[in-house]
Amino acid sequence: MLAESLSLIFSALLETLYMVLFSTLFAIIFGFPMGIVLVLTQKGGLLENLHLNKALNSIINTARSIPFIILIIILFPLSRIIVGTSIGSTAAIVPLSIAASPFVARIIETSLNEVDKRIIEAAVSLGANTPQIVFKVMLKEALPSLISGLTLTIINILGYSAMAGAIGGGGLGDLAIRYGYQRFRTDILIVTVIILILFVEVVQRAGNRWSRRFDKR
Amino acid sequence: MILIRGLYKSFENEGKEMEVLKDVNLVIEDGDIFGIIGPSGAGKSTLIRCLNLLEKPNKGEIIVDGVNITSLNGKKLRDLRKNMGMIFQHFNLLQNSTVYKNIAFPLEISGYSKDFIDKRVMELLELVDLKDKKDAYPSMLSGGQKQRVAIARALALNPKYILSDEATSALDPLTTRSILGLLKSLNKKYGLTIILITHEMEVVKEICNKVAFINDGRIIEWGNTYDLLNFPKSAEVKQFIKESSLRIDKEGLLKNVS
Ligand SMILES: Nc1ncnc2c1ncn2[C@@H]1O[C@H](COP(=O)(O)OP(=O)(O)O)[C@@H](O)[C@H]1O
Ligand SMILES: [Mg+2]
Repeated sequence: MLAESLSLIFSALLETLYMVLFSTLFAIIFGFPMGIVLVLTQKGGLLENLHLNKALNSIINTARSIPFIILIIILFPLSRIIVGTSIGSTAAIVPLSIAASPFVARIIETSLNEVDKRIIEAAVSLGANTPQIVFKVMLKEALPSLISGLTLTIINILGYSAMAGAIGGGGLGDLAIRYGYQRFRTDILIVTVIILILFVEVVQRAGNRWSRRFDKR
Repeated sequence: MILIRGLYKSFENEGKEMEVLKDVNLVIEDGDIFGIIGPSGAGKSTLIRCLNLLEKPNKGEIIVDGVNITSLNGKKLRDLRKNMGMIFQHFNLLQNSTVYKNIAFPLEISGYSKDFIDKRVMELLELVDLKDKKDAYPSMLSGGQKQRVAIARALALNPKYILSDEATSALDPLTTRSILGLLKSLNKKYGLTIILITHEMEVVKEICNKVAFINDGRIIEWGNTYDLLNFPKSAEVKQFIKESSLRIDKEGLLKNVS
């Protein structure tokens, strides 16, 4: 009985880690370039282009205003096309990535905009081109704040993954609902919640530590 | 040599056009330490920022060594900027990079080899007397040290010109003196041409061989520092000199007392 419960929890934990890891990865892959484009094309940006900026802003705002649970349902067909099924952890990665990408874009945008404009201008005055300014100045100067943003992203995705779990995504959220709630297994419910709390705690602490390590201001 | 001819620059502020530079004409010769002095808001920063096209002038010509730079872009513009090191009032160093990395930055973006960069950075650290601060971050340095890092960074690519926008305005008088001394020695040793913005007459007196007075976007008078300070023609410049010498006397007095 105990062994069985432990194995249930363990495999749910693995599913959660799997969803969070890959969703974070994809969210960065999509959100990162969007964030950079937002910053470069904004008013006074290095590649100012207000039309493109406005369009991208609208897309991001629209995506962010859809409640996640609805987004999952809307994206059922897309999940089926991409991963062949609309249930299970792999299928959940599709809506999770898509929900988190605009969030990552905003995090990148905010962090890069915090970089002192005068430092960027100094780099321009030294003859740096736009990619050099993005990669060697903006991202480097914003690194502590980017790490904090990434921490926030991971924790958010964890929360969303529990929601995705509830409608067939597997993982700890799914376990808590199916066993803890529907079958009155309070012990499993409690253990699941403790694991989630620990997960958040560990990620937050690691994030804070790394963020501080790279902050030389 | 830099020729500025009929230069105009305006900014748009809430739909209103505001003319900040009005028909500026100047000649900056090789080896000059050329001071541009005037009250706050006169257009000094805007003028110096036009020289490396951080601001694009609306009208007029800036001819640097025979080339009109006002329409440069892309690689040609970046090459111009690499020939004009700029230093700033607030130093504007990369906060999350060491002193070494800050000075290496212009070399790295120009694609030099690691060995060459290392050699050049060590040379520059020696020149600005900061060898022991190589691995420090800017936040660990004093204002004067930060400005010396910025000077080393501006010199890294061996530019012909240095643009200095109030580089000593955030520094105390003693540090100001040492930074000005460094700039002067660079001018002597390497024939560096320095264009220097300031609102302090002391700075002009200390190192500039030429000076231009700017007020409300217009050059009032310019020429040899000695001639201009001793025989100003316009009432405005006379007034400015009088006011600043009063200020200097007062500061001197205070210094003597304390
Ligand atoms: N980017 C800008 N946009 C709008 N107005 C500006 C801008 N830069 C400078 N100005 C205005 O131009 C005038 C001259 O500024 P500036 O060249 O910085 O003067 P100074 O360096 O002599 O103090 C000021 O009135 C300032 O408000
Ligand atoms: Mg200024």
